Amino acid sequence: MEAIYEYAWLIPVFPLLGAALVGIGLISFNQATNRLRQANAVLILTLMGAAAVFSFALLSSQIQGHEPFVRTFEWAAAGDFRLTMGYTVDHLTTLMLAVVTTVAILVMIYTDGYMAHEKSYARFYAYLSLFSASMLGLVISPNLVQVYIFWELVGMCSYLLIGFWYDRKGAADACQKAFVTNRVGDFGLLLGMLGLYWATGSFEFDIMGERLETLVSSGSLSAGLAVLFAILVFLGPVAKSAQFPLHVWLPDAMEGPTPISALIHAATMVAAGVFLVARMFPVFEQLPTVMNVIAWTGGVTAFLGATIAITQNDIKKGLAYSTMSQLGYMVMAMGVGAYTAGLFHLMTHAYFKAMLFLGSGSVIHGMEEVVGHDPTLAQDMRLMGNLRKYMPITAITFLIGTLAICGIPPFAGFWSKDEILSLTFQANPILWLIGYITAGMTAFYMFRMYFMTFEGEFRGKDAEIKGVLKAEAAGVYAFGPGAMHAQELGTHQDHDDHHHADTPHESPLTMTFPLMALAVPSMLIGLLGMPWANRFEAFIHAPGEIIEEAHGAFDWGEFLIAGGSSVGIGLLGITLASLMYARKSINPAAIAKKIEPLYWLSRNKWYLDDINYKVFVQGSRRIARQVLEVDSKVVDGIVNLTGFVTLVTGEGLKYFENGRAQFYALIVFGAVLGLVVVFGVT
Amino acid sequence: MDVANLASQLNAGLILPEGIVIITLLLVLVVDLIQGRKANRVTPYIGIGGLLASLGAIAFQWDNPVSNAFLGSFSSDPLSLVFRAIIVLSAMVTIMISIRYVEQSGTSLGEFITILLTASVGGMVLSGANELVTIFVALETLSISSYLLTGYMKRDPRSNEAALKYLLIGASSSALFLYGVSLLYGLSGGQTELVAIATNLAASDQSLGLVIALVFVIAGVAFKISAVPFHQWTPDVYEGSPTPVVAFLSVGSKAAGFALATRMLITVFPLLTDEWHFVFTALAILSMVLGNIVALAQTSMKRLLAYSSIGQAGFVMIGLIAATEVGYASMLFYLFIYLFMNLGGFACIILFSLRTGTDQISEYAGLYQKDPLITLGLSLCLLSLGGIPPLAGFFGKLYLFWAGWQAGLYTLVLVGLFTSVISIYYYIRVVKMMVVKEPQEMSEVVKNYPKVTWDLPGLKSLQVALVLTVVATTLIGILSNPVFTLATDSVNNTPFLKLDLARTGTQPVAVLPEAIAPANPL
Repeated sequence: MEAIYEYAWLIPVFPLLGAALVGIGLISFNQATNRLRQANAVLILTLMGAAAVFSFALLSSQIQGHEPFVRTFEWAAAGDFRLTMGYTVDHLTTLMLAVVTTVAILVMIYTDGYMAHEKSYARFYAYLSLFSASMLGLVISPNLVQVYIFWELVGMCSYLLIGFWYDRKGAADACQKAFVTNRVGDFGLLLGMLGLYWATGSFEFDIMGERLETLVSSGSLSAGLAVLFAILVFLGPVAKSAQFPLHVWLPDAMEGPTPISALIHAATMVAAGVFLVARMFPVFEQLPTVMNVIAWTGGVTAFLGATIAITQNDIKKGLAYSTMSQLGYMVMAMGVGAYTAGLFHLMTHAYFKAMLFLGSGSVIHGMEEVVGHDPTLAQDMRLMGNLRKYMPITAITFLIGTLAICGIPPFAGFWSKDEILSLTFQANPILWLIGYITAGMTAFYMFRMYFMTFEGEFRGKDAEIKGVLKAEAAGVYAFGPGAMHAQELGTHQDHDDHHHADTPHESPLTMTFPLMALAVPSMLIGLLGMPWANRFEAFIHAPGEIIEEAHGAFDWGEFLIAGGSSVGIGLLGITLASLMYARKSINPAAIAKKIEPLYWLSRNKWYLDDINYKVFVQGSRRIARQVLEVDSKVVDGIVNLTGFVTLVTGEGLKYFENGRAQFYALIVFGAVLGLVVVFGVT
Repeated sequence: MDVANLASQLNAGLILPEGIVIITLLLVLVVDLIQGRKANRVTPYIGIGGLLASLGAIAFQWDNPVSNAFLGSFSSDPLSLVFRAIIVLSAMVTIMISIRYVEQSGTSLGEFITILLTASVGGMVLSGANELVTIFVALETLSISSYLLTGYMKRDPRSNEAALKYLLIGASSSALFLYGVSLLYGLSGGQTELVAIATNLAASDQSLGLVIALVFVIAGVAFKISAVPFHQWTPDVYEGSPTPVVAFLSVGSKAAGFALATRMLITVFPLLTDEWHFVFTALAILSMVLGNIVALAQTSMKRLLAYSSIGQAGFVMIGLIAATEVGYASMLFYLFIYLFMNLGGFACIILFSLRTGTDQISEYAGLYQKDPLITLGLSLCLLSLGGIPPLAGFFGKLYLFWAGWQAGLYTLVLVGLFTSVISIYYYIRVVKMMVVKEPQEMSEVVKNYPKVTWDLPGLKSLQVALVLTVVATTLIGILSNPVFTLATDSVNNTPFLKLDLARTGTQPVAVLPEAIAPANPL
């Protein structure tokens, strides 16, 4: 049994090897490697599969009660500064390993179908594999430095993958936005990390927590400083897990291919922030202020995401805001100390949200056959409808995912969300209220999405709606240089339309299989965490927390009230959605008219992008321009003046060299005389 | 005292390197006389062989505990050995790069080599001379040979002019030096040996006379190392002289001047240490500023290098003024690498002027397209002179500035840093001229560049010299530690420097300071 622990480092190395092989192939023998196509995918999937088998072996070993395993070696040492690297295998690690590897494998299978006609098929697999390696490396990191390294690596992979279609302006902008926004958070993380090292002299999570506690309680470190460092560290998760106010990159990141949205921007990387909060739990839990900040950030994000999701028409954007909202739940759970519940939601969410995203990809894939390869048309739910008839598997799995996220028992989401809400209620009723209302909104917008997409009439051939959508898109573009481009694109699409089918049809098996496979955990995995027999909690709990084994005293009454109320508000949202979008008995447009300011607030994402643009983009541009002025006028002036003076001096002094020997001799004698006089006088 | 005893006390074996060079030059002379023009095939190689043998003799003497010869008038301590090795090496490279040049000019090669070897003997003896008469004779041997070499292109009026100017200024500076020396002789009560002079001067109280003697001696030395304001002959002489001679003057002759300065000033004027440090500080600042600034305005490659060599001498003086173990060692180290980078540069210039007949900087435009070897070699040497890492020049300057900073010479080091930034500008201008220019911006000369061949007699040895110096310039940068250790050893094992360091209270530290040691990964 020890052997698998000794070689646990192979888990991230396998996908890295795959990425390296395909990457080297692409660099050295580009055309040959591209021509191999599926051979690349098979290689990478095989290696990923090996990593998955390994991960599950470790998971089962940990479940059977094996001791946590840490292996470190000294990486750099200078004086008494020591930096160790290595890997750690404990309950949390194995859980994350299992989640990441399963989702990654399924997404990789799905990719084969989704990207079948893509010319950069091999490059996509290489990136995917590189990302998986980084993510797996992140979860096995034993200390904060190594976490930071892999943190940056997953960020880089995310950048590469969002910008995968780098010739699309939207994708190119989105990947930069994601990168820059994440830099803000990562800078905070780095500062906080260094600050904590300065204070505690360690990068190990538990040692940091212990020493910080002694330092703060003995008064040698002011509590304010400790809070500052912890909040700076928390900035990293804020950016990576798309928490308010650094969430703005996540919706734009949907410009990337859909498998990426599923793997990185729903299941794994965005959850890395929650994972880091879990890892840093020993540090955070001693600082109540920080815990409050975390909880409120999560609560605000959950609410914000849900309110924006209500009015989104782009299916992927809607899911993105929903992801943001669910991540808010997880962070809120962490903040109120519901460690297990947060991680439980992380796991269930990873499965059902990955499935929802893959389902949306399948829908888009089908729509593209009708409306062409134009994201503004193919992803807009106003053009969809009645897809259940054409894509039954996608529809059923999507429905399962929707029920799961709405918190309808016995689907996965119910158990985790209910646990979060009941624990939040004990800690902070106001936050509970926010989370409770958000749960209702979640049910509403998810079923709005489901009804608009899969029920009603198919509107894909409706030229009028298409015209509206294009006008909207052009309206956005009209202010930018892309205006011409959009129109050209439009005419091009019109021309293409003649070759498209009239109706969408079901995606190939490589795409539906992952959907079906993910539907299983979406339905069942929640049962691990039934409050009266919580096997999940027995496995994953906060460091130092002791789980009482006696479950006999389970309070059914309390559970039924809490669970019933959250199911109730979920059903309320579903009913509302069905009245508005399935039965059409309430006209959503009329409601929107009535509360127009609120409607536009949600539609325009609370104007946060505009505020960011005004304050940060324009502000920093203005500062940059002013600095440029100073640089070009003052600094350059000084430099040029120096150069000019030097050159002029050189030209002038040149004429002392007049070629007359007697003059030279005169200078020699003069110099000698001068020196003698100097010394004679002094 | 019988003859055998006397002969054993003379330790005549210590001047074996000089002896070998003298025998070589006689051999060259005789072979040249007997064989006439045919001898051109042989004589350079006899010269190189002799210099190699001399180098071997120098290396052989390294661990010799006995260092005084001829009853103290010549000392063969490690310091003089290093200087002599530098001079021998520079003479050797000069012969290698001059063969084709001299043959193409139609003058006799044998005589050229003979005079060059004579100058080397002068320089070598000067490096070890410990007595006034020996010093003066050696100095004049070096000087007069240099005048002859300068005027060697008899039919070239510029060469004649340069020789005449050099002779006139040289004569006046020699006169000053001789006057200073004679004052020393008088003030010390008739002593000629440096140590004895110092002892007697300490006993007497002759401050003004001593100061005058010091100033006059410095005038003579400063002329040799072309420190501002005693530099004015340099550009004119460098421009008019045959290029290989310039190469020798800028390295070999200058090294001999530094050897003389180190030995004489430290031994004779311990009383006036502050004064001569002050004078040298002034000279160094003037040299660095003027040499580097005027170099900016030059259009001829030879004049550019002339001014650059003035500036470089200013940098070297920092090591001398620092008067610490590291200071002296970094001075030796810099002179040693300066040998390679400067001679490498001259090898490239000679090759270019052999192929095109010009040495204007603007004519180098676009050379990259036609002659990559010259471009590469000249670029590396110039960048090294400018002090760009990881080339040798960078480490040389680093050691010098670091030693100066340790010794508290902040002004000097700051001026040095500032002027080396200026120097990078004019060095890189040449590199840019060669490398960056588009094909249509090529100069006429480069457009008509002859096909690159190495068939003509003498070109092979030029090529070898070029490659060797460029390789040395590049490698010593990376492997600077052993060379620097060698320089430190020689400083530590030289008696008069040890005395001086003990007197000024600087503890000899045998290891290279940690701060700069990591610069060398090997």
